[in-house]
Amino acid sequence: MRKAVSFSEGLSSDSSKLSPSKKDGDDTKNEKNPNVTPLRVPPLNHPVTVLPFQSLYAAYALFAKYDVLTNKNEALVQSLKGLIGLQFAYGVLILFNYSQDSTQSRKRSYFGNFAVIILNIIISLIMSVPVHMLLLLFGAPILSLNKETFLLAAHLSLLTVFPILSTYRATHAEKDFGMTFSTLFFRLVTVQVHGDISKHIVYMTLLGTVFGTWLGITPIPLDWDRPWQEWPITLLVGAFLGNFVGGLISCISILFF
Amino acid sequence: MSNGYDARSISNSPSQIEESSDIGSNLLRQRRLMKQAYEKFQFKSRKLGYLHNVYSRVLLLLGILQVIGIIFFTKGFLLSRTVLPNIASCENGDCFKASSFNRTVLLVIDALRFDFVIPVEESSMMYHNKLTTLYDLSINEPENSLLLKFIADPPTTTLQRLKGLTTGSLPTFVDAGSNFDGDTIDEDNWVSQLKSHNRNVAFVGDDTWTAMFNPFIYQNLSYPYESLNVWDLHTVDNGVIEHLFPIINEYNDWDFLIGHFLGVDHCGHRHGPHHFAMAEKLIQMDQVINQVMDSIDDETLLIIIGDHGMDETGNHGGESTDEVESTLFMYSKKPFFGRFQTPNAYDIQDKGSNYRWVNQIDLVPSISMLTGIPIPFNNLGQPIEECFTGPSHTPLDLASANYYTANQINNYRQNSETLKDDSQVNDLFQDIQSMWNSITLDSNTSALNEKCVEYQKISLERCKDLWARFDMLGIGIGIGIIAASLVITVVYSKLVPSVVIPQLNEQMFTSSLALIFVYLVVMASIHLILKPENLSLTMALALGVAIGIINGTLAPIMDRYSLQWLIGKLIELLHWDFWTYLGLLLITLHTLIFTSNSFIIWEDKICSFFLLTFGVCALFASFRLNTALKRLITSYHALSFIISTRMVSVITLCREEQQPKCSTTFGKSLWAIFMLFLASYFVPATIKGFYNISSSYQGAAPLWIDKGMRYSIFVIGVYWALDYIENNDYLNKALDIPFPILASIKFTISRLIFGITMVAANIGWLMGPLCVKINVMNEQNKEQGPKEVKILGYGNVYGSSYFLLIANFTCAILLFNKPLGALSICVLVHQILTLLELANLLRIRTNLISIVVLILLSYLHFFTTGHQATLQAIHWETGFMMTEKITFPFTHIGIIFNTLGPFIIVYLSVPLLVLWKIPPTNKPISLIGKVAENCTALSAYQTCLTLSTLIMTANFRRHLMVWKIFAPRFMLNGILAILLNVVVFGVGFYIALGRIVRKINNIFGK
Repeated sequence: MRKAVSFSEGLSSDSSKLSPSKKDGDDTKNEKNPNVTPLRVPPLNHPVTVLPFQSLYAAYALFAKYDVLTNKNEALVQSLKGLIGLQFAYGVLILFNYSQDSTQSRKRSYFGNFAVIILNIIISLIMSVPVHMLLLLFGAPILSLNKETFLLAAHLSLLTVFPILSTYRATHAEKDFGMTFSTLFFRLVTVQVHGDISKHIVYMTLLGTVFGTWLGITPIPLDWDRPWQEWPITLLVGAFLGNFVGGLISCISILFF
Repeated sequence: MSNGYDARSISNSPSQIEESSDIGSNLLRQRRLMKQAYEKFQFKSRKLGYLHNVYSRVLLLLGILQVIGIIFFTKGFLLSRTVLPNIASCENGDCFKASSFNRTVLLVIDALRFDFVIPVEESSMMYHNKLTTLYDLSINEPENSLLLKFIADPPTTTLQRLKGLTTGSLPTFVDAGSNFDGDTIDEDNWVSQLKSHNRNVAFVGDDTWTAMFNPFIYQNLSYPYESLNVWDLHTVDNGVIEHLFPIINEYNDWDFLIGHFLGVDHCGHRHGPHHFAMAEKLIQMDQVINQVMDSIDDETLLIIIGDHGMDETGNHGGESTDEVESTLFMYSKKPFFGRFQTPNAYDIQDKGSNYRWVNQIDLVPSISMLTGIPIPFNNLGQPIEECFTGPSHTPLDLASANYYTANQINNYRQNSETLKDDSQVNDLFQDIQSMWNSITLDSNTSALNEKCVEYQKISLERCKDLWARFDMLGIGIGIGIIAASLVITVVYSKLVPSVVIPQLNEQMFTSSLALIFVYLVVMASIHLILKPENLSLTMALALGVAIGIINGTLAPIMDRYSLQWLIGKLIELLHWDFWTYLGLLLITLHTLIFTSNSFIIWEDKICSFFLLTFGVCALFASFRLNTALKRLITSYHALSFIISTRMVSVITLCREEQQPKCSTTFGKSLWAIFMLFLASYFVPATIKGFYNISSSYQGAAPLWIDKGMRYSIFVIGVYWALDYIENNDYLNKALDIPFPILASIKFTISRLIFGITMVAANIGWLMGPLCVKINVMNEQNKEQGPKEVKILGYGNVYGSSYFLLIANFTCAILLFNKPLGALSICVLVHQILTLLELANLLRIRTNLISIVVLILLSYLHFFTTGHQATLQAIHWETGFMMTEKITFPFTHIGIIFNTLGPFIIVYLSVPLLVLWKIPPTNKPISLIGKVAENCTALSAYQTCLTLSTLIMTANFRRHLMVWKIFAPRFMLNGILAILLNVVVFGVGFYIALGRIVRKINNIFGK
């Protein structure tokens, strides 16, 4: 097990280990994986059109239409159903926005395209189980409120996993990206996307959703005793708003920088 | 394994030896060269020692600066009230005796909460419906007895309460700290008044009384008992019972008898109110009270009081309803007491929440007038109405009682510089005076009584308001100094290029010294000439030192770099990587939690949330590493960090404000002790695993980790098992081990472990143990190749050796933590080691985020070892683990190690971030510079928190929750700032790092 390594090698590692912190950061960022080709978001025709307005509507509907303050669980289930419909439409929108290699998608029949979107929705719903685990690890109550946590996880999964799956069309992994479906899938869910992030609108909505949810816990400890402070309403609102804001930042970056 | 430099091999090729075969001519030259090299090395190591010393001196200056800032703020914020030394007398005929009693018996039952003594229907609580005599009597014999709710003024600690109960004034928050060395009281009080009116005060019970009132107590009948050993439920009570009845029945030379029982309070502290020992204790108290009532004669007044209540955990000190509600009961064999006329005044519904209540200070004028002594000069209470409206009283009695009290309060107000000019209150007294002058025997006194009550209320409010007034100058100076120290720390650690620092240190130190003297003279002369009102000479000089340090450290920096350059550098620094942004975000959010009481309450959850955020980010970052092996190892460490953080955050001792959304999981349970025994195997095994990554489990490591740590944890497990047996009545009876034997075994264990870990092991560590082993390879086949010498553990030579010091402290801290807390500390050690590996793999050794995570770990484990930022949550009983009585270092060390243990471990581990897994360097000075950068970054983070608490506590000084939430949190941060400077810079940087770098430089540096 113990390797005998020459003294000089040890020293060279030493100097790199002791390099100033500024350098450390750059190293991590610019680190290239020699074995794997960099994964980039396929460019879209009109990136601005995929700005996720549906998440703003979903946040509005949560209160105005489903009345989450009086009947929480029922409203969350209704909201999830509504979100599935909205995301389906959003998937179609992404589908019609492919540029460059749009030949491939045209080859596919309409039925085929819809099948892909439905498949993506199903995968996203399955992915809500790992998201749920993540929420539990992050401090969600373990012994109580599990139904609420799961509904939140399903919402989050639809907001994050689904758009990125639709964009990458994971079903055509080997053709489009030169890697197996499982490799691509793993790289997508572990967020291994490289390049200039701010111009990737779908990726930015994902980051925005995560950050919004993360900030969404902030009002819960406050002693205001308001019904909207209940678990997990603030997180869900944070997710919806973060989703939109992330897309908006990306749009601004695309249009003005 | 994963790293390429875990062993060093030196090859001595035969050709090199042959070169020096021409010995005769070369010998002299060689010697000279060797001598030169040796001198060069000597010079280098002297220089190293010198530079390290100068580093430490500058850090010492920064530490002093912070301490001065905190002292200024504390002095301005925790104001103490002014005590007037005047003594009341009867010269003006202002005395009034409203009863014919010639003797009084006052029994204090510590922590007698009000709902302990009233019937609570359908309650199965251990403390309900056990002490029933008081209520039954007050219903069945209303003229002979009186039961009232007795509201204490916070802080609800015994010493403060006794001061309030005897002087009638309001002890302040600052006094709370002096609970352990109560001094003789110099304020006017009824005990000294009794003495000066030739009454003999007999005393038996809690020795807090003798500490405060010893000169006034009749020495022939004084039986004090040790009060602070909370493990012992019966000694004080049995002592009181033993002496009480002989005094009542046989002796005649006393006029006032005080008996103070501690059993109920100790039972609360030790078992909590839900334990059946509480029921036994209350039933015993019930019997004692009955016996006392039987043995007193007709001319004796019996008063029974509780000094404060207790909360759901059995502790007290704060201002929650459960803590301030106690009991007042009076009894006489002849009819004496009246009743309040309002309907439902004595309503026991809902645990007596609407029952008539009086303030504890109201007892003072009542006792004074019932015994015929002057009302103590500083009293602010009003007479208890029922004592002056009984069958033997005329309406004039109550009016007189009220008037004399109002008169005394007026006297006090006129003597106080700050109170006497309040015309609204003075006018009220004029009205009372004129009403009193026109009163006759038959006139209606109710108007006068109402006026008197109003007068007392309003003057009490004014006093409370005044004593909560803050010295804004001191507060401002404190905040200013801390802010300046933050700026200096950030500039010094991050903005100034690290190459310049060694040179800069020297200049900073000398210029600071010079400027300190200059400013000392300046401040002294300012003080002598201007004579500022609220700045004493010592504080002025301290301010001089602070300004000297600020000016002296900033001058050399500003001399070299312009402000623009520094700002430019700061902006440049902000173009950092993701980790720095995350670190800054977490620091900002952690600083902002002090803006709201809700966030401070939930700080435990917030800390674990932040840590989990780091863990998840590390997990995702691990997927981006370039080799599969690194990805695997890093994601494993990140996952284990996440899971251990999540697991340990389940342990919590809820603070009162977290109810009902929190359930306490911290307690002494059998499975925790069992887990502690398991930990004695698993913790050393885990550490061994981490050492083996760099093949460092050599040399001193097996002795320290495998022998020392394993046996220590095992013996600590035995200690807590014995403690469990002692506290569990079933096991206690079954095993039948005498209490003294158990106690002596426990003392032996704790002293032994403390001596071994803190004295023997630390001395051993100072000898410089190394975790390396030299293997000579290829000895047999010399012909085949060069001789190879392998040094195992070479790649982690600093870290492995430094960690042994942390192992010493960890073992000592484990001893002072209750089993679940000890488990939390074990997880902390695992988390720190995981973090070190992560810092190495993700290359964030000197990144801000590592420091942030370390500090967050210390806070998380502060909470998971069963603490909260409140005074009640301090585990006082751990002070008595090594000694029975309060003995200077041992009691204090116990409490400090228990409360601040996680912080000590984390602060000591800061240098490890740089030292872990690096081979001996030939640039020790830059190594020291990097450690210093991390240490000052840690200090900067803690200073951010301290500054934020200072500003927010000062901002919310009128907030309802300031004494309950903000002030204790500020005190914790103040203590941490001082602890950080001592542990990080004193122990970690100055002693330990200097020792280890010099030692390794001596061995490998040649």
